[in-house]
Amino acid sequence: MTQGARILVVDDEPRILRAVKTLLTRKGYGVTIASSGEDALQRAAETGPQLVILDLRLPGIGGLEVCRRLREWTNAPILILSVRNEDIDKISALDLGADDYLTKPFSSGELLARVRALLRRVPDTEIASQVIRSGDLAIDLVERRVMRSGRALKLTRTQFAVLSVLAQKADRVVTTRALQKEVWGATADDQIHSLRVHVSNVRATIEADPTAPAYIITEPGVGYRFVSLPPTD
Amino acid sequence: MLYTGSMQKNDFRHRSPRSFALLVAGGTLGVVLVSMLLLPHGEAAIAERLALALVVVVGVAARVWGSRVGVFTAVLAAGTLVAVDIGLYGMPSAAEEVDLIVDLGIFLAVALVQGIQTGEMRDVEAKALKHEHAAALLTQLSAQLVPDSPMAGMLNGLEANLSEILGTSRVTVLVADDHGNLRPVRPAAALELDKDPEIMQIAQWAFAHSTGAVPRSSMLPSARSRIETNVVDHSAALPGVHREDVFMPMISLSRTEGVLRVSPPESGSSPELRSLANVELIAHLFATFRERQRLRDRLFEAQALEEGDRVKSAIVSSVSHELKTPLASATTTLSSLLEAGEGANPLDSGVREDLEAVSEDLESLKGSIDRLLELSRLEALQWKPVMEWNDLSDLCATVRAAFPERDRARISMSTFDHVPLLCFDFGQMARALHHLLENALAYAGPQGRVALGAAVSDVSVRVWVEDDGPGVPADEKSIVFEKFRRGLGSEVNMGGSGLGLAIVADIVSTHGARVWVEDVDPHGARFVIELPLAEPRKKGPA
Repeated sequence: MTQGARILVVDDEPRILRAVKTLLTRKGYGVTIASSGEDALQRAAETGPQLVILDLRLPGIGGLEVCRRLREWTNAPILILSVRNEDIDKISALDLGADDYLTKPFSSGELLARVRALLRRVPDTEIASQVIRSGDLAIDLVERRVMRSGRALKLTRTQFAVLSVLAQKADRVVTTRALQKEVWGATADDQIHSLRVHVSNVRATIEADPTAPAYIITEPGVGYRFVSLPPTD
Repeated sequence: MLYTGSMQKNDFRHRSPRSFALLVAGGTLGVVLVSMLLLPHGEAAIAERLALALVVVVGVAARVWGSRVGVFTAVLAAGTLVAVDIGLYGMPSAAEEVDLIVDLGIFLAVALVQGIQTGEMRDVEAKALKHEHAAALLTQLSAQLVPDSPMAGMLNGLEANLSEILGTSRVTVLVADDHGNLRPVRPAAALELDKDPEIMQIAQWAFAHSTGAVPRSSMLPSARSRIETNVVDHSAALPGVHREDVFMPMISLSRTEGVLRVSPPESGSSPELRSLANVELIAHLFATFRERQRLRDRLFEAQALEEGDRVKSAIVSSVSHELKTPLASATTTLSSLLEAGEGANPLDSGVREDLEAVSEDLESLKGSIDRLLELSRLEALQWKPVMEWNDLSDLCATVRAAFPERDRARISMSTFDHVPLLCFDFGQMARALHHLLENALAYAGPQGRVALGAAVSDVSVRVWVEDDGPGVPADEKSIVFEKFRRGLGSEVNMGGSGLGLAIVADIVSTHGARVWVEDVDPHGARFVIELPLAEPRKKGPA
C-alpha cells in the first residue's frame, strides 16, 4: 500500500521542492507539489493525497492554517518540516493534528523513514479491536493487558492509559499536551509532573534498559513517540 | 505667565521697622487731616463729631495697615481729642476733669476695639489670600514640572515662584543617584557645598533617615503637626550643630529621591520658612517629579532594549532561514544521489567517496550553523526556557541516543533512580548536555571513555560529564566557557566552533543553575551542572 502512494509536498523553496520531489519520485511515490498555502489546499482537494509533507513557513495562508483546514476533511498523515527556532509552531501544528515533524536540514534517509512509517499507519478505526505488537511487546487494548515475551507486566490504570495512547499513535509524535488530554481528559500545568513520573514508570516496566529506551522515545521539548519494531514472537 | 491675581505682593512681605514707621506716619496723617477738616467749623458738639470721625480714621488705618497701626492710631486720636478739648474749652475744672476722663476712656475703648478687630480681620484675610496665592503657585509649579525638561534648568525658571511660596529663593535641590549618593541638580550649588561641608553631612543624614532636619525655632508642635514628614532639629543629625536652613527629604511613592534644602533670605528669618508645610509640599512635588523622570527613563530604556531584541530576533530568524534552506536542499539532493547510486547504476567509487566527503562537510556545517543560531537566539533572549517538570534520566537517555552508535558505545551512563523530577527546559538542557558530551568525546580522543552521571544533595542535583582526556589546565578553567575559546586541543584540530561551552553557560545561567569544570584523577575533566531543587528534600529516616 505504501508503494505508489500519493504525496503532496508543500514548501515555498523551489530547491527543497525539487530535491524532495526527485527523491520521492525515484522511490515510486506519486508526488504533487505546491508552493503556497492556497495552492496546497487546492491541490489537496484535487488529488486527495495519502500523505502531506508541509513546511510551516509559507506565503499567504500559513502552514498552521493549512494544517487546521486539512484536518477538517482528511485523516491523511501530515509531516511537518520546520527549522529549529519554530518550535512553538511545530508543537501547535502537532496539536492541530499533524502527525510528525522533521527539522531542516534533513537527510533523504530520515525523510524516507518518516514517510514509510506514516504511510504504514493503520487507520484509527481498525485499531480499536486489535492487539498492538511491537518487538517483544503485545498491548491488548480490549483486555487492557501488556505482555512482554509472553509474560504479563504489571501496569497501573494510568500507566496503561499512557502506554496505549502512545502505542495507538505508533511512530507518530504525541505532544505532552495531547497525551495529558488523552489520559486525564484535560490539561493542567501541574499534571506535567505526574505525567513524567508515569512515563518513567512505564519505561521501567516495559523497557529492557530504561536508560536507553527502545519503545518510548522522548522528543525534546515536544512530547513522546512510541516506536513500532518488527514483532519478535 | 505667573499667577498674580488682584493681590498686592507687598502685603506678604515681612515688614521691616522702617516700613512700620512709614505706616505710623500714615495713621498720624489721617488723624491730622480729619482734625484740620473739622476744627475750622468749630461749633457746639464739635468734639463729639471729631470723636466719631476719628473712630472712622482708626478703622480705615487698621483695615489698610493692620492692627498695630490701628492701635497706634487709636491712642493718637485719643491724644488729639484731649488736645482739641483743652484748646476749645481751656483746662478742665476738677468736676469736668472726671467727665473728660470718662469720655476719653469710652472713646479709647471704642477706638481700640475698632482698631484691633478691623486689623485682625485684615490680617486673617491677608493670610487667607496668601495661602490661596501659594496654592495657586504650587499648582502652577506642579504643571511646570514636566519630566521631559532637565531639573536644573527648570529650577532656575521656578526661582520666582519658589521665593513667593517659601519666602526665600535660596533653594538647593540634591538628588540621589542609583547608589544613594546625593548631588546638586544645579552645578552652581557645588561651590556653596564645598565651602560648607556640614550641608552635605546633614543632607546625607536626612536622606538616609528620610527625616527632615530643621532649626530649633521650627520645632513648634503646631508646625510639626501640620506635616507628615518626621523632623528633628539639626543637632540630632549632626551633634552640636544649630543652623537656620531647613533640610526636607523628597519622598516619592517608591523611595526617597533626594533632599530639598531651603535657607532663610539674607535679610533674616522668614515666617513662611518656619511653617514647614510649604517646604514639605515642594519637597513632595520635586520627589514626584523626580520619580516620574526616573520611570520615564526606565521606560525609554526598556523600549530601546525591546526594539534591539526585536531586530536581533528578526535577523536570527532571517539568517536561520537563509542558511538552512540551501543547506537543506543540498543535503537532501546529495543523500538522494548517494542512495540512487546504490541501486542498478552504482557510482564510480571515487565519485562516491567525494560525495560522502561533501556530505560529511555539510553535516559539520549544519552543526556549526546550529551552534551559532543557538547562541544568537539565547543572546537575543528569543529562546525562552519553558520550565517544566522533567525526568533527568529521560534527558540523559535522549541526549545519548542522539549520538551515532560508535560514540554512544563510549558513553557510559549511571542509573538515575535516586534523582527526583527537576524543573527545567528539556530542549535547552538537552542541547547543553549534548555540547558537554560532544566536547568530552572530542577531548577524550577516539579510544577515550566518557561517563554521564548525577548526584543528589539536599538542595541540588549535580549532573556531570566526565572524560579521561588531558583535562583542563588550572588557568583555563575560568575561560573555557567564553565564546571562541578552546582548551588544550587548540593545537590539534578538534573540530567544533568554540561555541559549545558558551552555549552551555548561557543555558545554565537562564536556569539559575551553575556550571564548572574540575579535574579527574589521574587525568581528565569533569564538567558539572548544578541544578537547584525546587523544594529542598526532606530528610527521611535512613
